[in-house]
Amino acid sequence: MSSNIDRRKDSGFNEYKAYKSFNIKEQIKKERRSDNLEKLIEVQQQKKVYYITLGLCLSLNIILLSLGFIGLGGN
Amino acid sequence: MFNLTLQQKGWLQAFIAILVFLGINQVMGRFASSVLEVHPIIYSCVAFNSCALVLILNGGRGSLAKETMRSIDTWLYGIVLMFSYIIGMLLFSYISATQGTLLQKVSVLLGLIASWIFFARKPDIFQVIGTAIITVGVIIVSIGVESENKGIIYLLALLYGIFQLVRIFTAELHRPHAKAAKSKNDPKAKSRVIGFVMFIVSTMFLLLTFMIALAQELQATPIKNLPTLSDFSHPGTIFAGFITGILIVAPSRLLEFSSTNIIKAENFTTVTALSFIATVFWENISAPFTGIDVTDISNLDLFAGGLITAGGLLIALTRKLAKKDITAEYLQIETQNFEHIDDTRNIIANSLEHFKHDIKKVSTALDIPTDIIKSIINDKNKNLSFKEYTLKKVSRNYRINIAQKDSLTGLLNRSGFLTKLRAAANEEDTLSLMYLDLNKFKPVNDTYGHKAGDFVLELIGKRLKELFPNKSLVTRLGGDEFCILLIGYDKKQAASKLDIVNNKIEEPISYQDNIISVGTSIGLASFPEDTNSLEDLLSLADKSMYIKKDER
Repeated sequence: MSSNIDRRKDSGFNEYKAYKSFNIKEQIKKERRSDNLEKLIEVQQQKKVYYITLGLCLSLNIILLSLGFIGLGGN
Repeated sequence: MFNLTLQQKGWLQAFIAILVFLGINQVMGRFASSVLEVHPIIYSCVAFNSCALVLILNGGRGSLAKETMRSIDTWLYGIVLMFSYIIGMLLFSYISATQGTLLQKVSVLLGLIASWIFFARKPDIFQVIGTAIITVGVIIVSIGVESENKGIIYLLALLYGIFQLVRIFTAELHRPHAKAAKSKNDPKAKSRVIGFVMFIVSTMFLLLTFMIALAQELQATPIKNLPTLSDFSHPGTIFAGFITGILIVAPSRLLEFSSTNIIKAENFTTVTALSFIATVFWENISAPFTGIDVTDISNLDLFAGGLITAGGLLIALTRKLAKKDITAEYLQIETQNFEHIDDTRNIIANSLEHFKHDIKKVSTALDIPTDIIKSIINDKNKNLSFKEYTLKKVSRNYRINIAQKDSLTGLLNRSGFLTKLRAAANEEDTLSLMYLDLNKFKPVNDTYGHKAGDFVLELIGKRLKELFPNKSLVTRLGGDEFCILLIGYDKKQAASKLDIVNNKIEEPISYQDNIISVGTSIGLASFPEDTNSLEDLLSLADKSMYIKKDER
């Protein structure tokens, strides 16, 4: 007999998979469980911050390296 | 291959960070400035930036990204690192790098004092002796300084030491990193957090440097040693900085954060006392390949450096001999969340009352060492609180093992019973509740005293627990009232147990050469046979018990 507690535990939410997933928007639309929905929104926000920071950091590195190559060409 | 404890890992990380990475970093810095003629500030900016990139990429997508960017600790680390770097540059413009590095070791003394005052981490005898030796070394170096600006040099050395120390303490206390290390213990999360920290550091640095360079362009004659816009396109600066960031700064920061978190900032600062010997070693090893001039060290500086190294080694190598002070692992001096102090003191006070001041029982129930309990009891200043992580754990243990338990019998109390009743209803579709009220109990109290009464109640509790050892919940509701929740029992199955319970309670009790006998009236109610409401189950069983009592 499946109890309420078992059903609650068996929510199928996997944080690791959620972070690796590329279609989190779709998952948010489909999710009906409020606790899982909160976790998915949290994952989405964390990923957004990660990508923005990575983008900025990568851009700065590319700009600096480009300046180095320009200097190398100039010499 | 090597089975190291967490503390040993922390010390190993500190030694690798200082003896390998810091040493190589110093040599690389000298090589970059003397051979490649890099601009040191821009070189560092590029190194921090590439370090951030490699750590963020290594960390990958995951938790704590948002928290790290929003954390004040991250920004504080960035500001402190920037200021310590600027002060270091100013200091090294007055004296040699060797003297500057040795003078900065005043941070070991400051670290010891700070950890004692702010974190209640009392130093042991080895720490005191080692720090005294290091301080003597620093004084000898300061005597050997030959300059007209001695006052400024001493002030800068002191400030440099303070900023380095604050940086190391900030690394230790960095909350998102501590979370990644403790609750998740995920190397990728740690890398992600430190990557984000280094991104903030490098961006702040770059913005400041760029503004200085812009200001320099507006100057008729640019100030020497400050960066100009043309320095940003110096290939040696950019490429050497980029490679240093990936190969040296990134692992060095990972080790610094991880090690300070384990062995604490003051111990990490002690290991930095070995940076002198590391730099000398790596300079001599690399000189034939890099073409850098080996630093000419005066005999006085060599002697002072030897003393500082010896002091650092003394502290590091005697850690195993020192009596371990575990207070810092559990407690902190609270300066912000004063409610944490109240929570800590209340938990300990209530727990002691619950177990009639038996510290060992409190220690077992809360899962904390007895020394920690004694520290809180003896905290006359009332400023100690559990660390956040410990407070969560202790609160949970308090709720489960004390707040929901009856102090006399160790059975569940009413509050614990109601919590478990709801959980049980989720697990099983049928429940039965026996409500027991002892008969002839008042005369026991009147005749033999309250101690005898307590003895009887404790024994009845044990007997009931023996009858229903596993799934069923035996509870002392208060006074001489008990109840037994039979999980998965319908009314018929539960009724078959009534006689067994009755007989067990009526068994004679031997107390101080007296034979005491008590009886019981038992009421029975079942869910969902008698009621669909869990709230009514207890009152129905209670009513049933009173009917039985009247029938006697």
